[in-house]
Amino acid sequence: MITHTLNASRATLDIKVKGDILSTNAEAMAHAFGEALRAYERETWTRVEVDLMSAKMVDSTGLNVLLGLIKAAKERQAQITLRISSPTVQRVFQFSRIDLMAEVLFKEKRKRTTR
Amino acid sequence: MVVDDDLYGLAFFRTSLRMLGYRVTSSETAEEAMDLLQNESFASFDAILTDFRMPKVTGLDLLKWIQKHDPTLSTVIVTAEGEKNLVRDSLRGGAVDFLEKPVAYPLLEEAMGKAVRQTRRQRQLRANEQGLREASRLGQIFVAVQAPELESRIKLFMEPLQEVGGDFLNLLKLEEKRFLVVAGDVSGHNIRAAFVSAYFQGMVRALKEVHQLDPRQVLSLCNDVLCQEWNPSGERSLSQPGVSLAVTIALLDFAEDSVNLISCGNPPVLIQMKGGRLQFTRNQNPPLGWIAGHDFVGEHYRLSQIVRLYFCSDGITDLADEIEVDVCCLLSILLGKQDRRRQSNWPPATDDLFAMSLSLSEMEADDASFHPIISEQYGGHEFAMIDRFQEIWRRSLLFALGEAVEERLYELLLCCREGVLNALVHGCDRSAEKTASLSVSHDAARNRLRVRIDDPGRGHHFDLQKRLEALGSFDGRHLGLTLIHDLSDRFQTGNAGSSIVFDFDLNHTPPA
Repeated sequence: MITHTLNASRATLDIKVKGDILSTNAEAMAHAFGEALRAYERETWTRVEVDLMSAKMVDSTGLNVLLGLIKAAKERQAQITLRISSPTVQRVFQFSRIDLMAEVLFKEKRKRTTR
Repeated sequence: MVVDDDLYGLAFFRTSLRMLGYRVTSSETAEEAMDLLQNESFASFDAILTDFRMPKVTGLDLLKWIQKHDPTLSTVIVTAEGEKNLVRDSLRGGAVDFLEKPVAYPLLEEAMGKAVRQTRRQRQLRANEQGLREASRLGQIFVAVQAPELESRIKLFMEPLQEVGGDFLNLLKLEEKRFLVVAGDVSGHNIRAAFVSAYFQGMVRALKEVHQLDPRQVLSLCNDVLCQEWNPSGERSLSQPGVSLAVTIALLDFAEDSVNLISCGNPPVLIQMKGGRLQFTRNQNPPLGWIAGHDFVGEHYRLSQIVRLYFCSDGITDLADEIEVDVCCLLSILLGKQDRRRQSNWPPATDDLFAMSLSLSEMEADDASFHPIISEQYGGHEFAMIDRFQEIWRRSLLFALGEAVEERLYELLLCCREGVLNALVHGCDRSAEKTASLSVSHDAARNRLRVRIDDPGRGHHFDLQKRLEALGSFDGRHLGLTLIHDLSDRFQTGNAGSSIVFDFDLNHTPPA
């Protein structure tokens, strides 16, 4: 569901999410985010980077999960960045104003072409 | 024709058969017999009697050649005593009988009588098949539209599994502004099915003359005939497969503004209502021929509330299950102008395919330009299966619309997901007793999708639409509905919020 590593030289906690964040996996996802933060609570980090590049959708319950992660990061005085590739997720982040609470970096994946 | 290189044998067979009343042509070799058959035509002979042992071309070779050119022409092979292997090969090769030398006169009489009867029976069957195929091609038996007022309102797709099948459609005018639509599917894919189909249609067409015809009476009468005459009871039911008839009847009364729909063994009728709602008929009756004396139950609707009716055979629903898409998108493709079937890699059908739509509203009405893509009903307790539902929607949208929907596919799926979850959790209180419905239709001319979600809840005590427009930030309230409001190109609520309708313009890609 997620993988996480601490990049000590950049003081950054990297969290990589596999797939979408939806009502059906929201509880497990929230639990996994909590585990990731607890795993490095004695370490020094000032930044959290969440890789959502494989997510095509984040629904309203998923937004609440991300909001919880943003709040937890901010309690640690850490900056948070959400990396996304889906135009749908980008629009959802814009409409929900989550882009005001976290840095959102959008980079569209190149479409695969077939001959 | 008698074929034998032994002149004594030839004379014996020729004389004996003439004494039995046959006109006989004789030939001393198989090659000469082949020439005669080709020159005088196969149809001028009723049977062939040939010796097996002849130089160069044997009787078995001649039999195989005849089977290849005219399998209806029966052949009797004459063998020497003890040639059991030849007898076996002859029968496998298609011979109707064999005679062992020396041939006794009574056995010759019996074998040739049997051969001639078989040839005539086979030729009659072939003529019947050709006649049915021709009638099928001309649509004389299987489609009868005797109501010119409604002819332009029909779209039809029929593809029998074999050259003749049991599917049929009758559209009959009963009285002024009163019409009967009968769409049926007889079990089986053969001449018997086609015959039962024609038999049933004949009954219906005769009954249409009855004043104030009640379709339930038609069904009861046909059901009784099938049960009594075609489906024997007791031991005979094991030796002779029964016949059943799946049929859907619609009685349209434009004067009374009513539609009476009765479905018996066929998939439910899809009703496209005004306002974007799609729904299936709920009452299902057994096929005709199953239960004698069954009391058929129908459903009544106001005709003016209906945009279109869709009928289909179970071949269509089976195919939709096989491809794992909603049956509505399959109907739209089969009945649409664009033949996407040729572009897609569909599995072969395992049953007759029959689909029909009947437009009931004015063609220029806004609703009439939309065609169904998805129509689903979910129980309130099924909210946890939303991922599975979403996958069917995804497959159906891509199947029906292909590249046209790709740019906005996930926005659309997200909105459907939020709307259906809201309906199941709040409108249905997660209860198995309550159901919510999702209807998705497409306007091909404007390339616009319309989604409607209905639940049985009481909605909201406030104006949901105004509340959503006022919500400008992520404050957690009505977040799912806010997303639908913001992502779609048009959003409307009805019934105090228990119905929501939203459109997606697929020509328009919103700026990032």
